[in-house]
Amino acid sequence: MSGTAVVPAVVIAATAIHAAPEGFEPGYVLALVDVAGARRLVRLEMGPDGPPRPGSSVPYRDGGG
Amino acid sequence: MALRASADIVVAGTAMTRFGRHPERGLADLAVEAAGAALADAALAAEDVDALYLGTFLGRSLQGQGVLASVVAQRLGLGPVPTTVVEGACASGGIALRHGVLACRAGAARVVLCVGVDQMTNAPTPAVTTGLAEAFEAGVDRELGLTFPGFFGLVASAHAARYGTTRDHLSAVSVKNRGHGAGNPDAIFATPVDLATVSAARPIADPLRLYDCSPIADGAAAAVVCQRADAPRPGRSIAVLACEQGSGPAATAAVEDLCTFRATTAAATAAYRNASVAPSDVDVVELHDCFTIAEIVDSEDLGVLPRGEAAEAIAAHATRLGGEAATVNPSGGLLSRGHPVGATGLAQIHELVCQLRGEARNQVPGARVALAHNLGGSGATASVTLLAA
Repeated sequence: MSGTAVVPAVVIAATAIHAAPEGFEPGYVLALVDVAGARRLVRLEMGPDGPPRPGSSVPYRDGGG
Repeated sequence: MALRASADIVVAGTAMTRFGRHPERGLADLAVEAAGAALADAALAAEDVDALYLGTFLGRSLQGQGVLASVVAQRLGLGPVPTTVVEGACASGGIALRHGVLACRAGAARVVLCVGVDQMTNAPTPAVTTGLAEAFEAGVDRELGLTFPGFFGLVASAHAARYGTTRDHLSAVSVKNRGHGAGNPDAIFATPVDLATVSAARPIADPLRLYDCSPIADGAAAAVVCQRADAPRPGRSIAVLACEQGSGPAATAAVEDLCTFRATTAAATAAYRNASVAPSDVDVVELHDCFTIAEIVDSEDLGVLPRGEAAEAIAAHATRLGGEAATVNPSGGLLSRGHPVGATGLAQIHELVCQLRGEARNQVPGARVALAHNLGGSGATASVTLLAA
């Protein structure tokens, strides 16, 4: 079986990139999150209040087996 | 304080070009200017040099120049001496100095020329941003669009969550360093800024704004290192008490704690131990304020200010010239002077040598012990050098 599962991730730190490198459109959010004890840098949609706060929970789409 | 008895390696001469825009000049031109002036400051000639170490990060990717150390050696008229390019991202200059110190200490060379240089303003900013991102480990961070302002935005986010660091705290770093740099003829930004201007500037990577970020620049700096016995002007030579280096992760997810840089703490611990110097002995510091939050974290990592208290102490002017702690970045730092990345580590040495000779523009009265801290990438590498008059 293959697929993905959405699991909770806790935000350690987050930023919104306004000055983007070549090939990227400004305004995306990058967050360092904790997923079941493992750290991941993930890209998120910008929320209405800006990047998510550290300690908050965001959905993380984990790779399925 | 007992200074280490074996502090027999000295910086005999230093120099730097003005940091700014140099569209009419090439990478080698800048390096040759700084290197030649450093040799003159040391009262040494090209034929006295036994080896050259040159730090550059973007020389290949932005300027397409390999073997730059040999190009510079030929232009200076050095003999057929060993020439080596050193790359450690923004710490390339500090690492070049360390290799010079090690070569002298090992007896492999008597006089070593250490040079740092980069040229950045003739490339479009997105290309520079992409080039700088080569300091991240390939595979994740770059592919997601992480930039260095973005990485330090994450550091600021984590530091705020743990220690309550605020917008005003970040702005206070920029105000201090732009104040120190005001009137500095070698700085790209030689004018002060106020708190309101910094706090209202356009966002770059939350929570960092324009004046939280050191500006890209062109420039070079150089130092001549030798045994004290080989220095023609021993009275103007500055002792190298320690010159150490540490390393850490180059991928964000591998950084265990965003509120400290392991490379810095490792290098600082070794430097203090090897020099028999305590943080409280240091009178003046040039540290790697590539972003305002970096100065806060660096101050804590180096023991200049207590862990978790640096932001408030900087805002209370503790590290300003005349403050109660060691003066930090009297040159104006990267935020004011500019950051031609490969040159920065040796520009810090130039400022500190001026301080310890009693000849600095923003002179710290009675300065006797100085510390330089040069950080590369996301803490992938760092150098810490302790100097004494």
